[in-house]
Amino acid sequence: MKRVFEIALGILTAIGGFVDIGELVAGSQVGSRFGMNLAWATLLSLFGIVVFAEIAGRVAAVSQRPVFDLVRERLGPRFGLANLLASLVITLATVAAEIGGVALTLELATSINYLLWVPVVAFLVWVVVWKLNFEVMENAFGLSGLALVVTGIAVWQLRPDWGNVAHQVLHPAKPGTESVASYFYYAIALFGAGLMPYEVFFFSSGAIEQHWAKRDLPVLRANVFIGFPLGAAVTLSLMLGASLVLGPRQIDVGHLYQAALPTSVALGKWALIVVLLGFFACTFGAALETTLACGYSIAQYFGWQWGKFVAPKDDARFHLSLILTLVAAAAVLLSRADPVKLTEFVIVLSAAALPLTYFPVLVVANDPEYMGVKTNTPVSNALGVAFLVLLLVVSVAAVPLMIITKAGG
Amino acid sequence: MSAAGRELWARLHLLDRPILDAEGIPSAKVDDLEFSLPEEPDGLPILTAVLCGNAALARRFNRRLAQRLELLRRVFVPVERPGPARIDMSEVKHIGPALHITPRRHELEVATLDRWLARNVLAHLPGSGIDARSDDAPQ
Repeated sequence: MKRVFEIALGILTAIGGFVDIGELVAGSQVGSRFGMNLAWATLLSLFGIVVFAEIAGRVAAVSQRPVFDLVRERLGPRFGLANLLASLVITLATVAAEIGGVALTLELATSINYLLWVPVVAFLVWVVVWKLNFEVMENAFGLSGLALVVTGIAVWQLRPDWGNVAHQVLHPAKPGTESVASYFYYAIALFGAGLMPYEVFFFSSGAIEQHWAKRDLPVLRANVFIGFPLGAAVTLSLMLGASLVLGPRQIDVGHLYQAALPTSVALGKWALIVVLLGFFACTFGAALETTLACGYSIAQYFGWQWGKFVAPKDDARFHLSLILTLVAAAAVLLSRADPVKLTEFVIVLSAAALPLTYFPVLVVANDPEYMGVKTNTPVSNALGVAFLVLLLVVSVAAVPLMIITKAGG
Repeated sequence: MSAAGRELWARLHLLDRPILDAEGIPSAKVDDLEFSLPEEPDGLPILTAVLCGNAALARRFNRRLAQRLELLRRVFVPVERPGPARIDMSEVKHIGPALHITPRRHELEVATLDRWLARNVLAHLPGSGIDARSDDAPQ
């Protein structure tokens, strides 16, 4: 029974874990501008995160070694350091974007300017990582993230022409009003939103911390193979909602409240409250995870103690790095960086940086010294290598497309 | 080498591996290695210690940077012996994917900066559970 509960909890929290500020912004933007013609990019990122998380989780559970530990060991201290810095810059910007998302949601609920909420939210995130039982908080936010299921009910209420939706998903075409470059730019944005590097650090680090072993692999697979697809379904309903409500009215998503509009148009005020609760839960949960991911990656590179249960007296350096992460993220937001714009940059750069962490994990997954008999099967290697090729193409294309389209134009 | 007859490649099996203390807690990385020259003229160098800490790591990047970091470290933490923190090979009990050592992490030289930060920075925040006046290692 405990096992069933564990699996169910894992699946439910994986839904909230998949959706964060990246999906809220990119899903709604794309739905409004491209209809469902880019749904394939979300499905591709789902395929990617399933392949990557399964490999990283298995490497973590079997070898008991987290990602950045392996990055340095396999690539050497210099390349490992460059890799660490690149990932840190992106994850730090993600912390800022998530905190910005929480603050914007609170602004919608209270009408108090989000800039005033930024220090409060950063402080609350710190209190959780400093003193509270992180596991309970994480599950609480994961479960509240289920409120986002309301976006699916809203889409059903909006009575879309399902034949047309299916046609756009299965036979995607670029809308005549958009350039080829911006079509692919947004494809990369959606792809990056589903595959931010912190998700995998956090997932594999969590597996080690909870002392997952080989016998826990079924729980891990249930999280990955059921939870993530449900998270992708939430993203697709945000996209479809935006295409039905915002697209026809030529509303280009530049504010977070616009992501909540389709749901409140379809279902009224109570649904708006529910969807805002969902936004709050998934962005706050992601703010916690990204903050810890910054601390984890530094600690794993330098060999310090890390984890959700590390008390301040156990490792001062780890806790100090969490504090500095939150101070830096709050400073970025208080310098009036627009959280929505910041999110757009972060997801595209995430896509560009993915091979840096994916490649070493793929190599170690094939090394019997770490993995014993649980090395990659030919099937997971074939998928893993196909995905690596895809990542390299995305990585090379991301920044030039950002420049050509002036970040989406 | 303790594992009799086992061949280890310094680069592949030692450098950059994590060091776990007596309780299996991550404590440092193998940032560099210390060898001593053999007494007989054609013998091989003998691995005497693993070196760890930022000063040891920085030596692999740039020697001058390492010296500056070492000076900076000594401003904060008094050390008896200059040079990077070392763990003698006699304290290493197992070499696998990670190095297992016999001391506890708080007893290590490499943990001095961590202790300094705990006492002088984090102790001042509410709820840290650290006693700023205590000279002992936090338990």
